[in-house]
Amino acid sequence: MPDQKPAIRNIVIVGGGSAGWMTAAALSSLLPPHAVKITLIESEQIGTIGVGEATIPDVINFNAMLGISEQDFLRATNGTFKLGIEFVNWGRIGEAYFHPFGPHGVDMQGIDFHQFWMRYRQSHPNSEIETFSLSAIAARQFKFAMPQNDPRSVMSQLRYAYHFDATAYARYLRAYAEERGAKREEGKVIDVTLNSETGFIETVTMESGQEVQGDLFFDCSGFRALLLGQKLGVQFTDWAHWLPCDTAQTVACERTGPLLPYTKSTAKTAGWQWRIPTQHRTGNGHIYASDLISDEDAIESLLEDLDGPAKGEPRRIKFRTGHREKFWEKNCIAVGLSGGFLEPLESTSLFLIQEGISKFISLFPSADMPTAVRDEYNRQLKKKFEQVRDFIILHYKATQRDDSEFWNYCRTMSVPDSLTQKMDLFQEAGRIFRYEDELFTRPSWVAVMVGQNLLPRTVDPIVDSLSAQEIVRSLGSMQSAMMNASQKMETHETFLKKYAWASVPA
Amino acid sequence: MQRSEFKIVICGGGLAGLMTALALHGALSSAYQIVLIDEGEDADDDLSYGSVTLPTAYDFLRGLGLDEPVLFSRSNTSFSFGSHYVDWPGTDTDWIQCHHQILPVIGGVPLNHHLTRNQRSLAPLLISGVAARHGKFAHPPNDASNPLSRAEYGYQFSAHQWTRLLAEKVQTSGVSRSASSIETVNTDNGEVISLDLTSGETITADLFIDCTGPARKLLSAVGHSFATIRRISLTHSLKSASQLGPACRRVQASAQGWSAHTFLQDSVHTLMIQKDDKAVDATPYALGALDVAWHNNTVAIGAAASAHDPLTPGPMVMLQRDIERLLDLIPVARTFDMEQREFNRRFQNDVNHTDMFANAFYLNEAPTSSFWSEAASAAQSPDLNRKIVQFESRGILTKFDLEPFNDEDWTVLHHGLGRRVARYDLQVEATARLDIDQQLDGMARAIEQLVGRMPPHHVYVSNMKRYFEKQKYA
Repeated sequence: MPDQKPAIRNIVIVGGGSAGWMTAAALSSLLPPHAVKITLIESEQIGTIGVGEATIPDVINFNAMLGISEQDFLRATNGTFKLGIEFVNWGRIGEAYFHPFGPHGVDMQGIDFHQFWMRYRQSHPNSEIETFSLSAIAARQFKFAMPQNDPRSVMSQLRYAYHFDATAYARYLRAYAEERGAKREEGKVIDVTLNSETGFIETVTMESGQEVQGDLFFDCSGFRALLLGQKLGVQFTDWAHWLPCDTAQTVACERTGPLLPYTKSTAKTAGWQWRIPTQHRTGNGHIYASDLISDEDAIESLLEDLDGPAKGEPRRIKFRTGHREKFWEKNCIAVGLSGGFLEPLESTSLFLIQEGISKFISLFPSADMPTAVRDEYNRQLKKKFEQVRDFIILHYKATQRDDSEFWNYCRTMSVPDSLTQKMDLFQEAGRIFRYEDELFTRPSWVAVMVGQNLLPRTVDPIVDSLSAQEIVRSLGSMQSAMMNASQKMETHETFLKKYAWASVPA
Repeated sequence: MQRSEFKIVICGGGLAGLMTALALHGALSSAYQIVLIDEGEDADDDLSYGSVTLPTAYDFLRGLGLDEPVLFSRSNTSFSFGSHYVDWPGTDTDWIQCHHQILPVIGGVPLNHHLTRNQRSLAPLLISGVAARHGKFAHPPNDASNPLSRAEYGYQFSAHQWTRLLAEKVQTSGVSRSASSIETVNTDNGEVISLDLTSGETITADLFIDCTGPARKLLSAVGHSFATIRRISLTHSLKSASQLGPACRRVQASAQGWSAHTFLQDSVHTLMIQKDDKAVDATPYALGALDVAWHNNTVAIGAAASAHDPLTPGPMVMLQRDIERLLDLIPVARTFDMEQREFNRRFQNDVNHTDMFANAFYLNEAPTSSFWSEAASAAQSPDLNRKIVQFESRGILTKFDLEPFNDEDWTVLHHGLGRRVARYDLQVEATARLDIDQQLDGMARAIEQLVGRMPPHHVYVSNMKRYFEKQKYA
């Protein structure tokens, strides 16, 4: 027999919310309760930061791993479908573009589609690349359909994610986890005890005096990072230089007009505003740099740009962008805001939680928490955060706006070398700097760079030798196939009402 | 670069120069003028590319006009399901380092974890390895229900014969070719200005490509030095054969080094690698790489840029990647900053990753000769160490960016080298051990039965050639 070292028997999760309950749900789905005890401590007095949450398609994998039915999940969370994000006023005021899920067009002869499009643009200067994305075309018409598997069908090009109520999602996952043996303890954690030799966390003490012992602790305590930051002293790597926003004001409003199958992000004077449609209302948030605009002005601007009457008072959230130098130290792993935060411009918050959990599962350690395993976890997570960071910084850096101090700063700030290289390469001849396992793939980079007017100076010589007529013909037929397909789709609202409408707001 | 013509001069008439010329000529419009200074083949230099390719060579060679009818009818090329390593230091059994598609995932858990729990070996589950061991070959079909569809193959080849085929392609392609040699490389401020040729001609260009092998005529002229990691010597011999051997190179280790037998249609080629000790008839060869492969207006491709251990298909995959990387980054103007930076970044990664795979062979306990101890001390690196530690502790395959050798290559290698996984993933316990055993028994049985029905490699190749002949006259 392979020598199986002492196994983890007791896992404690400190903090509920999306991070805590996603962790509890994933672990409880894998680990039989008689083998591993899972305890989650949360206090009803401490609010969670769940607002209308937008996601990227990877969340589908997470739900699938749990074996959750999509319809069930959408009803429970007031969920809607999302085909991408519309960015307004980012490149210049008055401009808009769509960052769709799924590809643009079809690659041919081993050459990336966008290179053909660059060539096409020489004869069609007003062509928008989003008109070659089925997700974008459908989204603009407020339509939705399920993607098809057959790669020959244009319908296989659709990709989708969800918008939903994050608090309802946490509640849904709580029921899931509890059903599978996870135990919830109500109360605040007030003290943490370390082993004097190993420095491992031994117990956490609750306000009631109750002590909870564990082999492994997940810190899901939010920005406070109660265990990893406060107790174990893991430092924070601050990215404020590149991402100067530090505050958000959020409020829900009534939904008016058609049900949109996409998130909208509008750039403002000192930040940006999101609009996330769920079934019965719309979530909104204004994210801004607090040294450049006052809270009062930020709220006023938020309320001005709502689609319908506000529901309740705006809530203020203060945040810090960056991540812990290590996500896993000793026997403690930070998942969620305690591990790091990137503004939700590309809806990556839940994804980063999911990565934290799935990487843990793939590296599942023995109770002695080998250094090699921790190192590998930290290396992988750090890489993910940095890759997402670069993509988000791109939105700020690739702007021509010069109407405020905020945009003047962003436009001229220095950015990480990895990003400079990507932008320079693209601008020269539309070439994409590749990483193998990057979350945001070629079409995403192309959508944002082209959308914000970072256009290549010339086309790649590789497409220069192809027949222009042939390219125009191929692109024309791709486009008409997509237009036809979207014509046949139902509206998002019609589809969702049949598929998974919640009778009551979550 | 739309207006005036852009001239690219490629120096070197071996595999690297000819492949680069054909690849650029095929991909670029007439706005690019391609000139090949064909210095003639240096047969000894091209030996260092070894004699096997990875499966990715198929598309690459087709792109150059070398499809299978050409390769098999006009040269002694044969198929390669992998390499058979025999008597490798630190191993109890030989193994076939075979090419295989993604390994099965059972119950949501990678195969590897089941093998650990059930204490089974990987080899009987790999169709390409089993077929190679029995001397069998057939093309993998598309039908996913056929176990052979999981196999992948590369080629066993003679560098000399491929050079001849490529030279013929160049002749008919319209690439302008000048059969001459470089006498002087004229430089100014780290740039190549022109080349004086033995023909008396002086040639200028916008971009110079150095395919001169270990001579590195251009890059050394602009001041780039080659960092040697380790010196070896190559000895080769060719013996004619009346019948084609297995679709699998045989690599045998000894106290002084190793030798590889490549089974070609008409012969067996033997390459012997030893320590560089000035042995008679042996060609000394320095393994290592340039610090940068692209400097201003000069780019090195193939062995001129980096020299790799021919123990694995590494040298050929590196040559292929050098050319693909160049195609990805063809300059669009007469400034090269951008291309240079990106090219060198990827080059560095490719060099490290290619070497890492060969290095992984040398970390086992080995004979105490200087060949093995030098190889072992050059093989250490933190990245490789990470891979081994992760595999041995939990069966995890650590991945770096765009590695030429994939997860399956690494899995087969770890198993072949006798690395054992200490702990399996708890998730395997969701499926009963006996059920998995039954499933794996079934897989192995299906493979064995199918291999029994496959033709021997030599029969398959001669039938295939007969078919190609018929097609030609049909």
